[in-house]
Amino acid sequence: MPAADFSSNEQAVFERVAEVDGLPTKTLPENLDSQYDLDMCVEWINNNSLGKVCLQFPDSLLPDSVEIALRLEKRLNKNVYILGDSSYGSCCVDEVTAQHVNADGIVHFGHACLNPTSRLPVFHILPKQQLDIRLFVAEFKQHFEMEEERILFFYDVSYAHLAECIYNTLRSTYKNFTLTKLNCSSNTRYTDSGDVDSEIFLGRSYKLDAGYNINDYKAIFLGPNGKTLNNLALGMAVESWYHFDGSKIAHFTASDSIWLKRRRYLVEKLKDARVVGIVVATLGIKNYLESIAAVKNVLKRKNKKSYIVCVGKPNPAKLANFPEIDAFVVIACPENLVYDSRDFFKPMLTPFEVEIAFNASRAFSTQYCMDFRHILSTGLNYVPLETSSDSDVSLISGSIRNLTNDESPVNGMGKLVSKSAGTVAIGKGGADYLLNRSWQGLEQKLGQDSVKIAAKGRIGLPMAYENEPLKKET
Amino acid sequence: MVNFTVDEIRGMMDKKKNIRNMSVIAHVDHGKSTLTDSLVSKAGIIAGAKAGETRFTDTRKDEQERCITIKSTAISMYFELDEKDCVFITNPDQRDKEEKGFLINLIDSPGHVDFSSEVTAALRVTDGALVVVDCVSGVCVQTETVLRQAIAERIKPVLFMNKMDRALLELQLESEDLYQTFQRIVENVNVIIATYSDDDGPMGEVRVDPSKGSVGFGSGLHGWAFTLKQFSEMYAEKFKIDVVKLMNRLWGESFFNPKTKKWSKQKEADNKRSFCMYVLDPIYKVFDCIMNYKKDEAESLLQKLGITLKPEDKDKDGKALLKVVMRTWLPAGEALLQMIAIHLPSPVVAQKYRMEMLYEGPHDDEAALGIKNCDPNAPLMMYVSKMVPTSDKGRFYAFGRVFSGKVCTGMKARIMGPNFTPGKKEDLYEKAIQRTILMMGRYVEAIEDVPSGNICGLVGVDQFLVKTGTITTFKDAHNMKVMKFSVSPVVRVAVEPKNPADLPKLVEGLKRLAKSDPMVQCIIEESGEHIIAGAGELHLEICLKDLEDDHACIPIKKSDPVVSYRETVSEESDQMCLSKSPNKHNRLFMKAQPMPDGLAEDIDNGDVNPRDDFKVRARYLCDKYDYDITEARKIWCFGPDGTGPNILLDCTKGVQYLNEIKDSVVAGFQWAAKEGVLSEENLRGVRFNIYDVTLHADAIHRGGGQIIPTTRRCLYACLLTAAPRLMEPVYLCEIQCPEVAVGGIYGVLNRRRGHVFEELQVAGTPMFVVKAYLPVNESFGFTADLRSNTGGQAFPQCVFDHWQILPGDPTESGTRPFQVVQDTRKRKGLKEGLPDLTSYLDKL
Repeated sequence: MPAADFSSNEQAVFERVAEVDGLPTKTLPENLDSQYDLDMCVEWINNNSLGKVCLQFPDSLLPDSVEIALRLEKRLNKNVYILGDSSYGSCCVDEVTAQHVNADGIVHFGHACLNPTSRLPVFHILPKQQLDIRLFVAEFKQHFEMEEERILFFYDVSYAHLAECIYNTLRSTYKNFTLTKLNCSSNTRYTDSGDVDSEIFLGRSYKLDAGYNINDYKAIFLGPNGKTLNNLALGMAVESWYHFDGSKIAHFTASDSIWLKRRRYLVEKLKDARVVGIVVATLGIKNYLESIAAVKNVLKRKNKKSYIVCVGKPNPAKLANFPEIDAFVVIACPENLVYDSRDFFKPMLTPFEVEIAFNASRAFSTQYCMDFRHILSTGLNYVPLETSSDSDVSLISGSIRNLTNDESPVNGMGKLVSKSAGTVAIGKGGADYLLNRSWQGLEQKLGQDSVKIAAKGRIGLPMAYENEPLKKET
Repeated sequence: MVNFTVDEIRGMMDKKKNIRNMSVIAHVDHGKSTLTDSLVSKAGIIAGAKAGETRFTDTRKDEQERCITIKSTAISMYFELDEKDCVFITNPDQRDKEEKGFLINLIDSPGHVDFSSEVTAALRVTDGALVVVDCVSGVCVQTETVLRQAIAERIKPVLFMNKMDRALLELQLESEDLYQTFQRIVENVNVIIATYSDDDGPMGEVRVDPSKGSVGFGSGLHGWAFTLKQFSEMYAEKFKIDVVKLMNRLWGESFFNPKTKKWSKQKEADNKRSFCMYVLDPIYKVFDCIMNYKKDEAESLLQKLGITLKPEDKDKDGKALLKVVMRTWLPAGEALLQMIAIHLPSPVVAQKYRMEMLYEGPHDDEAALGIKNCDPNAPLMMYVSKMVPTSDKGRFYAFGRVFSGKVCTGMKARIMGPNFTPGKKEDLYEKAIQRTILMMGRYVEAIEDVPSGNICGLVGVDQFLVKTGTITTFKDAHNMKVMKFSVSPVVRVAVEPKNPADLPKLVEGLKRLAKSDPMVQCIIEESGEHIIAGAGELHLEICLKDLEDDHACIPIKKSDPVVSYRETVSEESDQMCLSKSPNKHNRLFMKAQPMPDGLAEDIDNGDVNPRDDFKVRARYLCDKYDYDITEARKIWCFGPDGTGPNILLDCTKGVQYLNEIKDSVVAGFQWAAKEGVLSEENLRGVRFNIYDVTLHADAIHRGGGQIIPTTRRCLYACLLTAAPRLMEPVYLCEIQCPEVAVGGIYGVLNRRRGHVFEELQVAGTPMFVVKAYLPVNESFGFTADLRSNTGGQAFPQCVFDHWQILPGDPTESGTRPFQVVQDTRKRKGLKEGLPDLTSYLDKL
């Protein structure tokens, strides 16, 4: 049997168009050293005396990757490895792939979500976006008239190289202007704070003035209106958010976006779900195992069957292979795009949404926590789990739910539960689904169909059989 | 007003033959609540200090203020029939031999069409209906609707002609004209009854007949009423004729010549219709001499009629005196209660023929027999028809009727919601009933137990039921049938809290609102908007007010009312649509085509449904819609939600492994039917044909992941190639107005894309009835607009009728449907513009 019957045609792999954010461009060779701060990179590798080092690039920077690798190899006098096809997202450090070569450290290029990793040291080479600082400062001064105002300054990683300069300019006028620092080792200064007192939120560390709360502050974000800003604004309870979009400063609210409203519907779907899949979409972010355990625990307490699903990068086709699962909880980087996609057959939720749906002791707040680490018992936003058994009306199906007279939860498929009339059965969940399927496996249908003479079936390869209807028509 | 202890009432409950459960139904403003008042003041049980005040059954503040009933309310009454009247009850199951007292449970229901779900809920728990018709305006659209519903539920009607005072005082009708009016109303009512029932049906004769005493006349406002029985009794002595025989002579083509003392069947020069002569003339005389201040004449007339006035009433004159006189002469309570006791069925009689309409299970199991025999010793069968809010926030009394067995405080029972199916655990709870209570207007009394045939409330069941349900002690019981409403929730508003932090309170409030109203739908849409859907603008207005004041108790922002659209197709797909699975190894070939007219409605009504035997269904589709019989046998599923008005047909021949992917294709179809391609609205009236499928030989490559998203893409391609269209809901609108205002109505309707399909004069009155179709989307503010254009003389009643295609191509910019699609996409956060066919259609 030809190999094509079993696996996808190799041609398809070559023809596949990769999704790239931003146009891949090649940097001029003379700019390469300064653009990517290769000196600092070499210094970091030597200081930490790392043996094998991997270089991770987002797809858009791949054209430069070979040249960078060659130059580093030359200076370091050893081989470096380029990581191709990162598993989950280019913003996250791909430790797992690096471990294939038993690497000792990773240099990460391009946009980063700054999620801490657990295994390997990481050095970030952050992109350098240019900005007219004078314009920003002027706009800032015009917008914030009171000089004693408490303002937290956030910025996209690509502006990190300018943060110090902006801070120094504004600090002279605004006494309570606070700079946030990126919590990583990188090619720019003002990162890697290491200060134990400061709070860390989504990879940004800051220290509030003594006696003041977060909601006494305003916050401004310098950078594109994207996931980073949205996640920060959803999660931080500052007085108000402002955003500089390159020309002017505007008020920013994340709490009444269409995206967030849709999440409410998905949470309702989760409450209705009987079987939930926990999708592991990161193997690198610190504490991901704890998060899986926490989500699993919540679901168990609410008497919902859960499965852990690990399918590499999740896509609609992969997850639709589990039609018995009513909703998926995705453990992933907060900047992951699966939370925005509408192509999935079943809703995709965050661990925080599991908490909103099922943790009765969590008070409602307009803040939305995208980072799963914050709701763990060690996180900033931890609330002890308490489940309510009051009855509730579903706003989707309009029926009663949340009553706990279902059979007791069963952990594995092998365990038996006793039912009322002295019978035993395997716990609900999957078995229940199978019962409702029309096709339950090999069926003989003896005597149900009329006798037919055997006919010739399909001929050729599955890619395109020789006798297909459309061919006949054309 | 009679005073009873709970124990005495409990005693009455056991005499099931002497119980009458009845509802009062009518068109809006025909005077139900006012009429009910006159009954309550006569016979109400457990009177509070406030009893007897006007609109007793309108327990809510807004009901009192608006003078409109919103919620149906139950009250119990006690009435003793005289020995001589007892002979009128011939059926032994209608009265205990020794007992003259009757326990009458009356439910006053709203007349406005927006609240007709309340009527449905009331009818379910009653056996008889007092149909009230304003004799000036006659039988109106809502009279017909509720009467039709009553007949369908096997509820026996009696008729009451209300507002006779208006006919006499305002219209000054001649007695013969008034008779003709009455006659016409009786005929109209009987025509409706005859349309929906047979005389030889299980209920027996359902028609109303004045000469039998099942039609009452009078004025609820003035508190007087009579049936022919009253007058017949007055004259029986004088004529030396049997009361029953005389009743026959007092109605219809029966004339009396006072000179020759001869009865005749024809009108002649010197005889007069007996009804006018013996019934109407005395009333006319009383009206004439009192309203025209003929004091002496009045006095002698009163004497003749044997009316003695109380001293404090003697000084009254004009209308006030008229009221007192008529009330003393022909007390409304007496006449009506007699009519109810004699002509409406007892639970024992009614449940015999109602069981098969009420019970879903086999008609010979224990539960069925218990219902049929109204047996208090059989297993409990109770139907909860609605939830009534308690003073305790968020908690409800479950209000319903015990059809079999007894329900007691503390008893353990099975609580089954509408989704329960025997043998499964879904929607089934075994719980103890905390308390059993009597519910009367605004009073609640604890009671130990309630036997079959009675109406009561339960405490502690509300947690397990949303709106309705069945409560039983019989392990193998099936559900009692779910009520079918005559209105649909087609008008919607989106609500959100003014303060975003109040969101949990809003959600909690919505859940309570959903419980408290039999029909309102509180849902969260895919877009995350919280939607309240109701029957009409008034219904929504009341729901929103309740939500804001009682259920959520927070300030609320609401959107303008909107309607939801449906997506459909107008032609067959212009090409065979092919979509490939992500691994390219599976291919689906399908086409979409519109369903023939009427099929979508047949599916809505359940005439064609997924549970039918496939052969019977195929035969029906073949005969009625010319479907190919072999294709029609292979309907894979209905959708959305497995029951909706779209179908997926298997037209393939000899495809291998097809059974294996059926579940995946069905899942993809349900998905696409719920979220259509244009703006993710539900589909309606689309038939999809699968013509061929090529599948990978290895099962692992044709799993759900490959097939489900591919099916959706293929169906989307089918829709886009089949001239997609939008459908909008349309009201049937009936407008009553005087002739002069008809012109104004046309103007308003034309502006709102409405079209008139019937216009006729109400015989005997200057009133016109205009019937029109009006898109629901154009109906907002229609009532106010109509009033201002007709000087307040036109009064519309709108009820959802059908879906119709919104003219125009939604894929062509500049058309109305295009705009609707764009607005919807924007609201749902979808990419603006139009879906691209090439992203769904593949090439081989």
